[in-house]
Amino acid sequence: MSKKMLTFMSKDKQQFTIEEEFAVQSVTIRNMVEEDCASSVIPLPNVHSETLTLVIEYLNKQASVAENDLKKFVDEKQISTLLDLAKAASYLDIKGLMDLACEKLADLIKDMTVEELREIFQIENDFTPEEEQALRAEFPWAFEV
Amino acid sequence: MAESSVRRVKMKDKAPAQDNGGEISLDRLSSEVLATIMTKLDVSSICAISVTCKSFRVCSQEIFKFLPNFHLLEIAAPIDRLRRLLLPNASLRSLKLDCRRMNESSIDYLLQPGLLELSLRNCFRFSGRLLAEVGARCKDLRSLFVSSVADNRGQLHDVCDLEGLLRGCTQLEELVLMFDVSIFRRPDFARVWNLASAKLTCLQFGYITQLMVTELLSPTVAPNQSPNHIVPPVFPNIQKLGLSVDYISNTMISIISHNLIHLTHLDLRDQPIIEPGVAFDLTDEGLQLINQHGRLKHLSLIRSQEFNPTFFRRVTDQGILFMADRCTNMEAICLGGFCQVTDTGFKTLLHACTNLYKLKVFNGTRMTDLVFLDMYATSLALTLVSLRCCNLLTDSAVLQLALNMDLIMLDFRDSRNIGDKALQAISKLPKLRTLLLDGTDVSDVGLSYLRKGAKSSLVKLSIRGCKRLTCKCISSLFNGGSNRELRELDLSNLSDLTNAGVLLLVKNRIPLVDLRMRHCPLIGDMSVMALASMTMADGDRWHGSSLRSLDIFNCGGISKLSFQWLKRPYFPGLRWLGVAGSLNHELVDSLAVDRPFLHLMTHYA
Repeated sequence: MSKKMLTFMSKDKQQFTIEEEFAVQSVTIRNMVEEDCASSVIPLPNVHSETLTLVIEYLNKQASVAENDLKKFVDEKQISTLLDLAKAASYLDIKGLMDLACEKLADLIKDMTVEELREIFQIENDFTPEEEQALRAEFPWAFEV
Repeated sequence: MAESSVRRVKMKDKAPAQDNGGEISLDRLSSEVLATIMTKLDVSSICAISVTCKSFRVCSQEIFKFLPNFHLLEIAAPIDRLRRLLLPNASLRSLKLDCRRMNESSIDYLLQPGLLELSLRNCFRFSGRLLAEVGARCKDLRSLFVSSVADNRGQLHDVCDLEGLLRGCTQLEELVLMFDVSIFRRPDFARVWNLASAKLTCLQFGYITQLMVTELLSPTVAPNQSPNHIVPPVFPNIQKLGLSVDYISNTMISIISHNLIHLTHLDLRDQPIIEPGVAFDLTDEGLQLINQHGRLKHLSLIRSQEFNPTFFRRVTDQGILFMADRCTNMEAICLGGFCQVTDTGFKTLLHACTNLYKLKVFNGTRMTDLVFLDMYATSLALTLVSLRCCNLLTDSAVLQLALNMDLIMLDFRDSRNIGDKALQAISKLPKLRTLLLDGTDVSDVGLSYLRKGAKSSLVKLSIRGCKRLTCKCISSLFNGGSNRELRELDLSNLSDLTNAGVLLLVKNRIPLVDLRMRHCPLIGDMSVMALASMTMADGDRWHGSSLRSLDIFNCGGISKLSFQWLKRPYFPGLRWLGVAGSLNHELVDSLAVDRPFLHLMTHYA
């Protein structure tokens, strides 16, 4: 008996297939399947093909591999890759992958300074210098002791 | 699954507000990602991230209402700073704090009802009532660690407080009371433990007398019950027991081994001022009684030398041999102060316990190389080895030990005859992370064997007081880009260490986290300045010095100039500083004002 396959299409119009039984770890996809809208190609306009490749790799691995080995999935990945992965996992509602990516991200940003954090998350500082000073003074140990 | 959708809904409600706020509007999905990341961060990192921009600040303020783990141990924050963070939080499950600047008025903020895990260190300003309050407010608690409760206040603890704790926390599995429990009143103390949860598997006391232990573990029949009444054992399920006592005696060992059926970890330590008489001491007979139920995996018996040189003089090879016979499943053995045990005893243990991964011997005065002669015949599973003050050991022993290729930690402190040949063998260990060589016979040449280019795994190295080392020891270690994984380095008591050595460290940009140079007469202001101005390039980002701990106590060349370089913004991550205070009172005080959360150690440790 052949396994039911689903097809995803990434933001940059690349197509990926995956067995339905693995795909439904994503609650978003599972809902689509149950409501019968998963017959043709499923467009994922928020997810780039590079990230989608990793997501599919995770979904396929998750069923067979032990939890400890699964943790290695996020080793040696760049912060930007992990952020994209976490965003995709959030969009597709795959709790396991989101937790995994976010945990690794937390680990990597743990000891960063405010300036480094701004760079990583591509944030612009919208505090006035006085406001920022006041905030830093609230919890001085987090910045410099 | 439901949880994440609930949270997403929460964030969706927040999104419009954030859109109106800062310049950058985070799309709704990123908010969920951000929230998830924040819940996995420690408190200091959440505070740091909240300063990046307005929307992140809003997010972090929300986080403290459902953060599951609130851990802040690296500094001792006063309660007025934490009030805004320790909000009423129904999701709070784990709290770990250094409480030395708090007192009982903080209890409302600390003892939240949903807690499963609680760790409060340095509770000097709390009374025993803290325990009763934990019992009253944290009914679901699984794990409790408290240290120094009411230490040095000269008060007797009230057993009612302990009763309150045990009655209230019916789910308690792990209980660590790191303070002197011998000042609870007997016999009420023993009786109260009948209330302890049956789920208790792990118990540790900071200090207790062996008499109290004996009373605790041998429940007596109450006078109005018949002698046939079977008394349920106190602590039916204890697996891990850790005690610091006045004397380790045969009686106590016997009672522990007999009554604690499920015991897997036993950790006993004593520091007697005078050696106990035979009735109160550990002898060969006592060792034979260990592990009566066959489940013991970790055993630690240590007679510390802290007050006086005292030993387990009544334990000989015979006791060890009998013990080895019954303890072949042991995985970790720590023996301190067994001065009568010879090679026969130690070797038998090593060969009998095929699952042994951890071996620690302090003051093995009769231990020689012969113990390790047939290392190849053992299971070679050792990963943590500590042989301190074993002065008959030479490099040959280490050559044999190095056959254990999985070794992660080696500690040869004060084993005077370990030298360069040993280092040659040690350098071949691919997984070694910690190496402690204080007071050994190593020289600069020996240290140069530890240069392995990119392949070094060493994270912590201590070469305190190694008399043969000169200033060249730094270049021996780091030339050619070696040992870049090193984060903790102890160079204390090296009389030849100069500022040039420290400059070399800085030039090589080793991102040390912990650097100690106590009692180095030639170290001075130049070293402090060099360390302060150390910049780490990481692409085009600039890092300041990565040091979190610096010890320059009693260094000969430290003057007023150094104190300028110890102030902010230098050493941004510094949490702990050792510096001589006696000659520099004003300077130290002014530094303390500049850096109120810096832990300053200004006297002999």
